[in-house]
Amino acid sequence: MQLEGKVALVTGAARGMGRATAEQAAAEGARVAVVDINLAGAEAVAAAIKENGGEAVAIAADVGDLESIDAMVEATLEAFGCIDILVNNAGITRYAPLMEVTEEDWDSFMRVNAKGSFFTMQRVAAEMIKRGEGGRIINMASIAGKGFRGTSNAAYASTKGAVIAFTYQGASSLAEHNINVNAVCPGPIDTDMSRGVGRQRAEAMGRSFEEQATAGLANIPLGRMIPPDDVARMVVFLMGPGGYNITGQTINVDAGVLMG
Amino acid sequence: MQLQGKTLLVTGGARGFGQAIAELAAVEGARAAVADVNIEGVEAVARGIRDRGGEAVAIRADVTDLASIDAMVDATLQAFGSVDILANNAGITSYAPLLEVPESDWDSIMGVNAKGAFFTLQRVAQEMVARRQGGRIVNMASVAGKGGRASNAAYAASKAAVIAITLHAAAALAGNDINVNAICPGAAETEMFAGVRRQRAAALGQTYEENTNDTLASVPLGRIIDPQDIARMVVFLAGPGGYNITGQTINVDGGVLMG
Repeated sequence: MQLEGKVALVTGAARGMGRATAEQAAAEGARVAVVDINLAGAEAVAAAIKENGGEAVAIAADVGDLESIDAMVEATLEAFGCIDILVNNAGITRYAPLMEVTEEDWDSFMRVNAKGSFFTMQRVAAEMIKRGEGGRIINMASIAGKGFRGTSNAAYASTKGAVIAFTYQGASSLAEHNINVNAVCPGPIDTDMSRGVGRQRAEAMGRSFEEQATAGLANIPLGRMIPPDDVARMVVFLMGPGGYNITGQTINVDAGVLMG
Repeated sequence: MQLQGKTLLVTGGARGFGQAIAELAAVEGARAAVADVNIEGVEAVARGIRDRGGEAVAIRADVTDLASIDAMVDATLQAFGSVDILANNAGITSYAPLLEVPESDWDSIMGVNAKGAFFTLQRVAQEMVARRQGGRIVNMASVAGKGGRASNAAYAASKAAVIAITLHAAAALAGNDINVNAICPGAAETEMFAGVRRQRAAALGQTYEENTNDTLASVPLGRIIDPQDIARMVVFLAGPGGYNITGQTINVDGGVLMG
């Protein structure tokens, strides 16, 4: 029980990596604010955590809207009294080759992935500083933000580059408050969102989903897709005792796609 | 018990990071082969692990000598039958400003930290490949190998070599399901680094406390790294959380080098 007594707020927690992170954090003893724009999805995750003996509340929020971020933080404080850990995970994408990236792609991805994560971090950090007991912030970036050539969409890659940049800024600015800020950069991952991208990409290339998936595996040194639970394990590690002296890092969980 | 049933071979296991790695891995259920050039030191560490109910053997090894690496691996196989995890940790340094690094520093530091780590990795990877059950290799690099402040330019060079070995080996061994990563500690609270700080303080005409405070001023989180912090990351990478992580060089440094 590495996170006994801690409060974790996880955005984008209705499915995929957010859900896996919320569930593992709860299993390690954290009380979890399960946040998503999809309230029914968040409620199902919170209910599953409670059935397994954990503590969780479901909160609806749109991180692209600063008032909604405020309300999400207030609801978390009302439920649990403080926030020790933020997992800034909400994110969206869709497949498009560079020349077909639309303005709508750019604006909508940036609104959620970059602006939404930034202002969530800013708002939660303000609470952590006021409380004076430090904190841990884990931003969900991606190897797309470090030059991975197989990214779904250049706009998505740009948002994740932004997440990496404000991870450094956050880590530098918040270190004196004992708040550690890191990013996890997943590689080819097996989630609803990435399967959707795979289907779109397969269609664009005139291939079956299976052909597309096989072609993708050839670029992964360990030869396997990454389950959301593997990403969640790293996020939970960074939340716990092992993350005490780690800040300003952007750690790839990518089966070796980008080494460094 | 994340490492239940696994065998760990850790070099430089008599003190500091190596000792912390052996002890934490044993708590997580690993059988630990604790190797060091200082046999009394590893015997004490292995005894401590056994006294607490763990499994460990002490092995004398000098990683600069390939015959000694062979003997170390053979002794591990004889004790436990396999090597699942290698913590390639043995390392040395001493303080010297760039213009005063003697050839003897270069040769000795490179001999242990780079050549010793490489041939230990090569020898253990041969066993892992032959056994066909994959493996995990964690190399001890340093932020010194990425441009951070270093005790000695030869030490920085040796750790950059470890990083290069890590990237190459991760690519070469992925097809065998062997994950290879490096940890890059920052300023740490070990006997070795305390020795470096004493030497640096003497060279700069400072007290040990003044020198330690200077070091801390460059650490964003404002604290020295504990060997436990390094051991936790090694155990994480060796366990279920490291299953899909390879070719990474992860800083555990209080924020000294961000990236």
